[in-house]
Amino acid sequence: MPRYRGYRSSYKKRRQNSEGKKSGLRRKIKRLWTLIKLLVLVAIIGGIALLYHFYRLDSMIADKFDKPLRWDLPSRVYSDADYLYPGLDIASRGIMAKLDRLGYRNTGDKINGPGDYSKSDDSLSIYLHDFKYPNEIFAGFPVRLSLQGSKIASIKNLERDDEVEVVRLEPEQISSIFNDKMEDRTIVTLKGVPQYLVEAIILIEDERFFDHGGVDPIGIVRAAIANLKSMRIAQGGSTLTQQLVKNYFLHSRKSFTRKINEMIIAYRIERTHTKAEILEAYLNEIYFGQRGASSVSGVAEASKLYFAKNVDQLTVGECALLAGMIKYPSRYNPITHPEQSRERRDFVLGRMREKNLIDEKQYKNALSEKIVTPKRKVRISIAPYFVDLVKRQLADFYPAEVLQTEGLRIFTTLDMFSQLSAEKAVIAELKTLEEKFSKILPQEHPDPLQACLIAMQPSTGYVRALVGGRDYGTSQFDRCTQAMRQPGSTFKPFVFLTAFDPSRSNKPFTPATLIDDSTFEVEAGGKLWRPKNYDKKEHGLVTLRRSLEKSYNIATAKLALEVGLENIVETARDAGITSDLIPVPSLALGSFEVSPMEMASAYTIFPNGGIRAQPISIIDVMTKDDAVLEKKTIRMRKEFDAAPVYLATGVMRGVMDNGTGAGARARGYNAIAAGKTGTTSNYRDAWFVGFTPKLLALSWVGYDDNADMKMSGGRAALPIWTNFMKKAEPQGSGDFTGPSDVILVKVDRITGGLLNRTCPEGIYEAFIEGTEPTKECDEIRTNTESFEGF
Amino acid sequence: MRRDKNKYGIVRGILTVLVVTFLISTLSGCAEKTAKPAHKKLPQRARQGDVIRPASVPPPSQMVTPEGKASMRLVEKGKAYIDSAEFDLARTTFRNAISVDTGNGVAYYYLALTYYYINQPDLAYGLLDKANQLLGYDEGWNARIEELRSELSGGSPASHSDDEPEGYGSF
Repeated sequence: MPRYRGYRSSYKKRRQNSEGKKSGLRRKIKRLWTLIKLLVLVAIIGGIALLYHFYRLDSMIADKFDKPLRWDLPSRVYSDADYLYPGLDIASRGIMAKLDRLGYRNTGDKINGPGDYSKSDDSLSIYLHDFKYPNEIFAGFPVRLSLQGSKIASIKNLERDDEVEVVRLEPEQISSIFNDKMEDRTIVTLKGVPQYLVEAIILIEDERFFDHGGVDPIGIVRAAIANLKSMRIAQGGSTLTQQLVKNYFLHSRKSFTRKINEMIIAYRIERTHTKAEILEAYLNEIYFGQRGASSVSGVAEASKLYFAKNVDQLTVGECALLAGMIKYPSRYNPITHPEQSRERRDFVLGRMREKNLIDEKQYKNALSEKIVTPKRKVRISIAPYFVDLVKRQLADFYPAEVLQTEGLRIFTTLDMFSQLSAEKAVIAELKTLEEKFSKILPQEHPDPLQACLIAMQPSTGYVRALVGGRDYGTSQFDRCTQAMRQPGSTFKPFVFLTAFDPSRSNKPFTPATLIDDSTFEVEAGGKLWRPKNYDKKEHGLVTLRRSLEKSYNIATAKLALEVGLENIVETARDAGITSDLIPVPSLALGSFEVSPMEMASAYTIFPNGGIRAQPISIIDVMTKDDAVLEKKTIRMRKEFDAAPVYLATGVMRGVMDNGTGAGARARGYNAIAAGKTGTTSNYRDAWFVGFTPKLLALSWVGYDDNADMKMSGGRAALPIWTNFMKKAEPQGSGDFTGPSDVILVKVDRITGGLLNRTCPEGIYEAFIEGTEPTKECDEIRTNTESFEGF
Repeated sequence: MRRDKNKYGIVRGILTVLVVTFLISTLSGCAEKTAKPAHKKLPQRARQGDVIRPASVPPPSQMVTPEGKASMRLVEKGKAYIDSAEFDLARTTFRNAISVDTGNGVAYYYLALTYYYINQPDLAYGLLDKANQLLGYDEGWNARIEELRSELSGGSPASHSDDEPEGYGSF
């Protein structure tokens, strides 16, 4: 038994051992199985993830690339075109500076192709750019402007060898409306790109482009060997397709994941797209450097930026330079690094010659080509307040996303010469004011003095210039169109216009009618209102002319009451003032609020003989495919008889020559002009609105918080107006034309009576025929008591 | 006989004096009448040259300013576009002509005419008012403007006359 027992126990042990081994194996198998399951699971999950990743990439490619190619194209805002014609003074219109802004290149003594100009003492030759206008494609041609001094004597079309009477300089691009990518691009088809440029790019960037399937292992090995040899990254192994993928789908940050994705997408694209499609996309996508905050993408936009040409107009040398720039756009920028860019161009040309892409003659010619670039634009965006106005006007019809991505071309009424003159005038005169009157201006005011300047063409309503503040960078609030300010005395001409118009006034008045500038009180809104003059004095009997020239408040308020306050409101409405106007006595002194744009627009009826032209800033809007979306037009309507308007204008001429606007004359502006100053209570606003027959400008100065600046319109706003008009309208535009029912009669300046021995000197005053004075000056004097100056 | 002769001489002398006196008084009266101004109450000084007419718009034929000539060149171009029924181009060209010289009444007229042709009369009326302001003193243009105005309010484009008033057609 013991033996058996022993056997049994050993059997047990053996069995236990054997079972132990078995269970260990089982456990191992189990663990292995678990591991396999886990691995399979991981593989399945990984596979699913990978498939999902491929799916996502594929969807992305399908979404972005398989459809007709789409880029977000910024909309572009253009100024109005400029015309050149015999008699035009190119110096006073700043034509040379305009050519530089338009990207024309000064090529010395002769012009060779589009975008070139050359200037000598007696001529200016320009090879005009092509330009797509609404409904019209203009093909550029070379012209020679013969000059007498700085005036154009004649214009010759050098292509046809005949005289032309008018030549149009294309509009200037004043701004682009970008989305957050800030990419500037002009789309071009493969056919539109010169063969030399395409060949040079393929040669320099991806010589085996037609031999690989998106990823080039040979290229990668070759690049790796070259990099190892030189112990630096001398070559990249990326194909054109990979570069396109990186720019179009991915980002420029270097990472392993990006590189893998780049290869996958490149491979996928090559499977589904032709080489021509890929090449065209590349030519439109590739990065060519920066223009301010925006990037320049694609060969067509680069061609414009660096050579001021359309891409199809590039020379062989320029093609080689552009192709060479792709590697390091900033290093080989021909504007900022001309020497390095020339070396790079010569290198590319050498490779092109090696591969027989060009013959020896072409090679030598291209090597000897001088690299001529347009002047570098210092300012990227011009007229930012005006552009904002345009955007606000378009916002009703085109959402921001459309403006930022659809590549609309927006043609405006802006006159670049006037705009630049206006910007300079605002900056210079505000600085002068702050220096000259630093003791008068409030000390330690938190914000700077602000200004607004608007220029309009009265007979069309075109907004020719708009400066909404002194610095757009620090304040985008547009004081011309968004600010509501009291107009003060600038409203008075509407009181006088009502008075001179027999169909609008309760009583007939002429500029020679006498009115008593003596204190009076009137009840308004349950309170007594007593107007006061700016000089705190009373002036007795004065003519209406005198009271407007000197801006007497008491006389004007009295006139307003006699004319009828409701009638004045109606006049203002007909002139285009839409803000709230309440027929209270202080209305005559501009106690309500208007925007400067409203005021400028209302004043256009004076130089326009009673016809009101609606203000307009956008002329046409075109799609990127050149379809005209929007056609704005000049809209005008006769609102007033020409005769009373002429009378009011005549009185405002007196403001310039003898009244509160005479400062313009002292500053050297001698053209025939009319206008009115305005100063509001507590000197919060300083205004001047003035005009010649063909140009109207309004200037306003003040603080955004309505602080008192202790300066009148004549002191603060008039200098800005004068500075601007001396540049924009130096000679004026002739005399204001009078309607046939107006006569000019010489009358005594003080009494408004006819001249005789006792008052031999007088002025010609305008009257609607039949309303001229009948009494002589001395007769009026004896019948009345107090005259100003007696 | 000699006495008779003296007698006749005295009578002749008296008659001569009377005739001369009569003639002087009559002629001086006439002279006063012709110098009388249209407005009765204007005194002598005003009558003698203190009343003048304000500056008026020069006729298109006398448009000698550089911008006036350039503007008229554009008008000619715009007219050619009307002739070839390219109204969008005509509209743009007349608008440019106005922009170059805002005092060119002919450009306003033709822009109004273009709106008439493209059946947008509401845009034409104001332009005709402006054309009238600048050209209305001229009978030929005045008639054309009025003709177009009446056509705008009911006539048909086919009936419009394209005859240019004499002297204003070629620039």
